[in-house]
Amino acid sequence: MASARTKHRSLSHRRWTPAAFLAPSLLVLGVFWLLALGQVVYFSFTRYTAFEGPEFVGFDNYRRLLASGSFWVCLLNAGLYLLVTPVLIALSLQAAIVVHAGLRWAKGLRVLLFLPVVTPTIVAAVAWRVLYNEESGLLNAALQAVGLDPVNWLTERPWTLISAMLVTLWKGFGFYMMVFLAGLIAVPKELEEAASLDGAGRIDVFRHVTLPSLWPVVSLVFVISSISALKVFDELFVTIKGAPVEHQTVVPLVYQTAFERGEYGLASAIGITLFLIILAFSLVNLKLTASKEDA
Amino acid sequence: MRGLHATFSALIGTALVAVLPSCDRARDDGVTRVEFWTLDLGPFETYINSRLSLYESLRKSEGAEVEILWVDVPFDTVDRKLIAAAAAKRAPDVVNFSDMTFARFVSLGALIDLRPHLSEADIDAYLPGARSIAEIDGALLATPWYLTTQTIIANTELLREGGIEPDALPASWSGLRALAGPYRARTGRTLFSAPLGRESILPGIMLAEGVVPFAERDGRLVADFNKPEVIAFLREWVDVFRAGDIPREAAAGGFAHIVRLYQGRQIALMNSSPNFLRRIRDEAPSVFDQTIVRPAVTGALGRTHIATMVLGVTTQSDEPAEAARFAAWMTNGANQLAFCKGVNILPSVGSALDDAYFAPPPTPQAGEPEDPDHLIAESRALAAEALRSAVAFTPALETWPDLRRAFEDRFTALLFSDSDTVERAAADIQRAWADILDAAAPASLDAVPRPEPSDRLEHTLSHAAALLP
Repeated sequence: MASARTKHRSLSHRRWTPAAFLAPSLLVLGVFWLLALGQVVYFSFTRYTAFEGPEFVGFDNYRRLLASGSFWVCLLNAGLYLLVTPVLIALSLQAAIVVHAGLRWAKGLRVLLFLPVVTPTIVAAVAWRVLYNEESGLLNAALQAVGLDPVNWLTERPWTLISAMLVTLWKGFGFYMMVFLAGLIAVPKELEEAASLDGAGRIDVFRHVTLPSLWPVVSLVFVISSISALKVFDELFVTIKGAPVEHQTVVPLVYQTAFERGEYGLASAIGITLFLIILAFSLVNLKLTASKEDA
Repeated sequence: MRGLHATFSALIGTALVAVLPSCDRARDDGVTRVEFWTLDLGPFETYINSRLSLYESLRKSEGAEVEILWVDVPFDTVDRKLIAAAAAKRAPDVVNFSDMTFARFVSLGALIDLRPHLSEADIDAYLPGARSIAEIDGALLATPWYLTTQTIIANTELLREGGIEPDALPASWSGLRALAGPYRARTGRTLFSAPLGRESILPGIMLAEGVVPFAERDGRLVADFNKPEVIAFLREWVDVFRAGDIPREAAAGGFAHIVRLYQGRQIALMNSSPNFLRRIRDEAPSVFDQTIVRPAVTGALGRTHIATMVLGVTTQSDEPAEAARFAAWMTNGANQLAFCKGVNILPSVGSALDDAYFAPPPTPQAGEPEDPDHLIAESRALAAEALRSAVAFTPALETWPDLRRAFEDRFTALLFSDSDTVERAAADIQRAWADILDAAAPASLDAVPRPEPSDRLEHTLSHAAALLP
């Protein structure tokens, strides 16, 4: 009898222990994410301004949003910003391979390449603005030195977008390099050695052994960096400060609508639309990469 | 629901509170505090402070303890600061708006109707043209404050070289355009210039000509840019520009190029703010010596455009009655007149215009020393006279800056391309305007100034007829 009671208590413990561990995170997520998301969803169906409380208006904000030329331009720009992702993956994977090669100066190089990650975005963007300066910047001086025309990095489309993309690349690739490095370290050495013994060259070993083992990491980096690119704000906000909203992407449009125009309802509708786009994009991404992994 | 609003506002407010000017107006000491924001009026600190002291003493004599907390805000940051202050539930009581941003705050529900707080006599004292911008759907959402308008500033010597008598200058834009070709043929120079592309004056002139590029469908304002009247209006300007009778700088040079060309004797006249006279006097005295002023050119309605500043009381004001009383007092005839005497601006109250300060200066007698400010006084009198029938040709639409920008971008491209057509540009602008208006909160045609023709119209037309061959 006593043993049955002990067994029951132990089962009950086992059932509640995970819940107890999960509770704090769920509470934080519930309050700061689910509740906030619910609020924003509600606000997106209201006329809500800096001066007036929310008043239900149905799909009016979404109708205004879909009719707005600025929204579509910003969405297109966000799509263009995704071009950062493949470049970022290629550069950071390459850097990870170099650092992983066991060279004498690999540790120093790793620190050097990781430095941009720990540099605050504001500091980085301000430094880049100095380089981009259209009158006295180093980049235009270099272009002119080789006989090319100077570029309006901070005021003319599409250079404004490219300027911010370069800052994102510079800041992000050290982080993804570390992720790839962790992936490379986890690739079983025996597999690579076995392939070498079978006569495979270094490129073949990388193509047929290392890269397939790294595929889950590539998928992860692709999804994370794509989401970051779609949500980019800081780099645009500081690097091309003052450029019209049509030079920017969707999150700066949310900022402008809420904090400069005081239209919280419309800003919420833009935010929810972006959320749904990112969700759909991520699901398709995961589905595609999962089928690639299975193959 | 108010709870949700409060939570959201508090979050935003906390994030942005750092940018707010700190004004403590919530002390419980029996003093009514009114926070008053102005736009870039720091240089006129003495005048503003003198008015605030006067108002506080006046209210004290009436048994009320009132303190006005004045904050001067840079012109280009006021929108953001006001939104941030409102998010933190700390919006000021009285705010100075320009006519370009006023409508935006109206659409956000930022301003109270002042009619319940003001007498009919107070309201009627304002010039109808200036008041119209603040009257929306029967409510008076602000009191008009100071104004600026235009006059013709012309170089007599250059006019005569082109065979134009200074006293027979055209009074309408169409008359001016008609003279531009013959003048250039005779002198090789251009008669006048105006910003057509960047900082374009054409949207305002279009309304002043009585051409309305809007319509109302199902109670909602829609774009009506693609109609024959608009196309004909634009074609007249494009033809003159493409013929070379208006300088190339008119396409992208903005307002700055006009004064530069006038001072360099490259144009014979400009229709501009009389404020520029002081600059011409200081920078190009020999040109100033040959300069005369004449009434501004107008559109077919015979009315001059005025740029208007207003004072509105926010919906977040804890003291709306006191704030409205202060706004009305600050903009009354006596105070505006005192302001005008210190700064080269015009009042929005008819009684102030009756003052001798706005009367034409006496003609200098032979042998009398020449008064260097005679021309400035003359321009002031002309501008003041035009004010009585002038209208703010600025639609009270929150989207007006966006509509203007869409027009300017496409029209500038049209001016720079000889193969482009007015019809194609009008169709593109129609599409852009339709998108902008669709995406905005609904508005009505009442927001677009459509005044009756002024009595001055006859005078204008007879002038133009006399000049045309």
